[in-house]
Amino acid sequence: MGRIKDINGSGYPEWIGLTKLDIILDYCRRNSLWPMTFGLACCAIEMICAMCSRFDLSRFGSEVMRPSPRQSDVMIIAGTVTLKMAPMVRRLYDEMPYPKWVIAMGNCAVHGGPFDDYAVLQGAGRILPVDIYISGCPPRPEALLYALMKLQEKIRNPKVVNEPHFIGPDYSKPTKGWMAKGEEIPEVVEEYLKQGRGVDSSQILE
Amino acid sequence: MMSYVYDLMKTPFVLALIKIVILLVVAFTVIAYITLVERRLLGFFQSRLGPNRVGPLGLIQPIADGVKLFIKEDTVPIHSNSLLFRIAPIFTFFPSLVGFGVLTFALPWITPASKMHLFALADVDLGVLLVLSLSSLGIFGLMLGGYASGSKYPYFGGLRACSQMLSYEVPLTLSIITVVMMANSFRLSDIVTAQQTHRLYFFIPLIISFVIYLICMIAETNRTPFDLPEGESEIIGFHTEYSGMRFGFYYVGEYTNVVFLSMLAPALFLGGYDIPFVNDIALWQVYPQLISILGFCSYAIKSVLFAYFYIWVRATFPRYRYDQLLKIGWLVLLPISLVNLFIVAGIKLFLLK
Amino acid sequence: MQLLNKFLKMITFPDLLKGLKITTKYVSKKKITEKYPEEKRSYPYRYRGRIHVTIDTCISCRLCEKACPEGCLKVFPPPREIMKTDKRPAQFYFSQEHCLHCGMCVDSCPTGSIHHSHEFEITVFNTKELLFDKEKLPYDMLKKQYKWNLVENVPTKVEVKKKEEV
Repeated sequence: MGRIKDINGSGYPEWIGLTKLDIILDYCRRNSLWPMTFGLACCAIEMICAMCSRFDLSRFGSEVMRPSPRQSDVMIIAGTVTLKMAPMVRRLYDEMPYPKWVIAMGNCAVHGGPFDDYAVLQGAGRILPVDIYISGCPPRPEALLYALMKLQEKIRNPKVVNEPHFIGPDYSKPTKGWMAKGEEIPEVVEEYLKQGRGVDSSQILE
Repeated sequence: MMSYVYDLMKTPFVLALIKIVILLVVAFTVIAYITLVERRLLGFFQSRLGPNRVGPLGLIQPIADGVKLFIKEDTVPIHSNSLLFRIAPIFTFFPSLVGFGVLTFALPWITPASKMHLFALADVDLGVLLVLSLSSLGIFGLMLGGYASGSKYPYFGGLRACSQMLSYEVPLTLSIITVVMMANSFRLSDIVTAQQTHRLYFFIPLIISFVIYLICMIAETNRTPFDLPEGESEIIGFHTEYSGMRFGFYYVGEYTNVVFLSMLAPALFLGGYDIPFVNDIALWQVYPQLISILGFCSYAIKSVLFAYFYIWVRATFPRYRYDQLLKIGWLVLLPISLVNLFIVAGIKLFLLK
Repeated sequence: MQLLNKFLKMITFPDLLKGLKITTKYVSKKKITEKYPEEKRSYPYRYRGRIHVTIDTCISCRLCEKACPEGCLKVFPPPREIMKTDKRPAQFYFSQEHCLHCGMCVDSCPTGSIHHSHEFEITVFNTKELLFDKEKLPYDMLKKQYKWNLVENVPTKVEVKKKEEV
């Protein structure tokens, strides 16, 4: 048994079967995610729909909707977070015991959605550490299931977050448009990126 | 060496210890998996699949839930009475677990060496009384949990739970007392033996007691349609402030109660370990071991029926309002069970002698 | 007689038994659950998922940008010298986080280069990924990309027009 494999800097021989307790604990954590009963707006209807017979969130072991934040693991922010509701949302999040996760469901919870006004919080990410964003207006119930699976993936391997994550197809092939010919990005476009929406793109014609 | 071990096994103390370990392991497995069975069956009732992705057929789901509850952060609120807050969950969990010791699961298994009763842990004289007193101890858990949380809503939840369990304990006790009168004994194995010798299960003559027992059984364990103490979604229950394994104790305690009461019901009304349509005692003198195993199986099947009834009722009925609940308890069930008690006592005194 | 009926109803719980009977039926019935990640249902023909843009047919007219009620589309036409020969946009931004899936841009496009896909699983870890630029908006590869679409050809407006003409 001369061969020694270095696992995490600990010099155990290779024949000793090594595993981490974390693997088992994470398995248990990610397979019993109990969401909090917390619907804010219309996306809550889709959340209820995901609980019902056709989509059935219970297959993943997370149909146990807990009304109390003390017993829940996942907070599904389903709907518009108004400025008046925002402190309550934050307080409910603080009342949840660790480990806890947050799913922002719907465009309103992601970035304010269509309500770019004085009464709506522009994204739940401004007051909470959100793990998963689901875009859609509202998202389909399957999208919530997909997000739950993504969250399980994240609990298993937190590095998933840093990897470039694209939905759907593989975009790695080079594009053949105007950009691929070697021209540089116009400065106005870069400014657009800095300033966000609201830039009049007609400047580029001048 | 082996003979020494065998001698040691025969001492009552060691045998009792082994029985306790086996009973605990089996009881915990059953309690853990009844949660899974309930979730899957609820799914079937609602025409969907239950949890089926964690392990084959979702069999690892209860383990995952349990481990998750263990490693979850345990919060104790600042305004709580921290000692009572920590102790309270144990009060709901352990009394119902102790109750398992009183049950007799089969006719005695007679081994050639010893005449030990392998299927009963402590078949005490006043088994029924012990069971009743333990179930009333369970109230303390809910009441203390609500009181110690240091918040108004759990406090009200605890009060609600307390009054509900108190008011439903009376009809439950009265309905069980009719069984005791029929069997002339408080010992659970004697009650079963009485049913075996009469060749008549008690749910036929005591049908009213049986129905009252079924209703009070659900109300005692705080399950739908009488789950007001928890009130999962609308009204806040006594365990709102509990998290992690302390909440898990309440959760497990509820299911322990369910399993226990659905194991007690066959012994009282359905003839316990009696095999239907067979003269057990005559056969038992010929093939003792075969009959005791078959009797154990029939007991298991009968208790599964009651556990299924729990889930069936949960899937069907909506929740009662609180005043309706108390009205049913005090104005319907209590008078009926009292009248029933007098009628049964009269029949027992004057007709059966 | 009425009293007897009432009494019978009181002791036999007919309505409760009826409820129990109905729920029992569903235990053995076939379940309607779709096992989502493995089975995907066919979505309606005109289902409005995330918009896809065919950059090659785009003429940088910016009608979609004007039509969008949320302002989530931004089209940057190329410089004039290139515009004479190649009208494809210099850059095309689409912010999914504001999109309502209303379909205004699809209706307004004269060349039919914007169309709805059946993609709805728009789930990200970071909101920056919800801003789609020209490279991320897929084109030309629809049939290969979405194998689970039972309606394989998501028709563009041009194709529909052609069908109507025929």
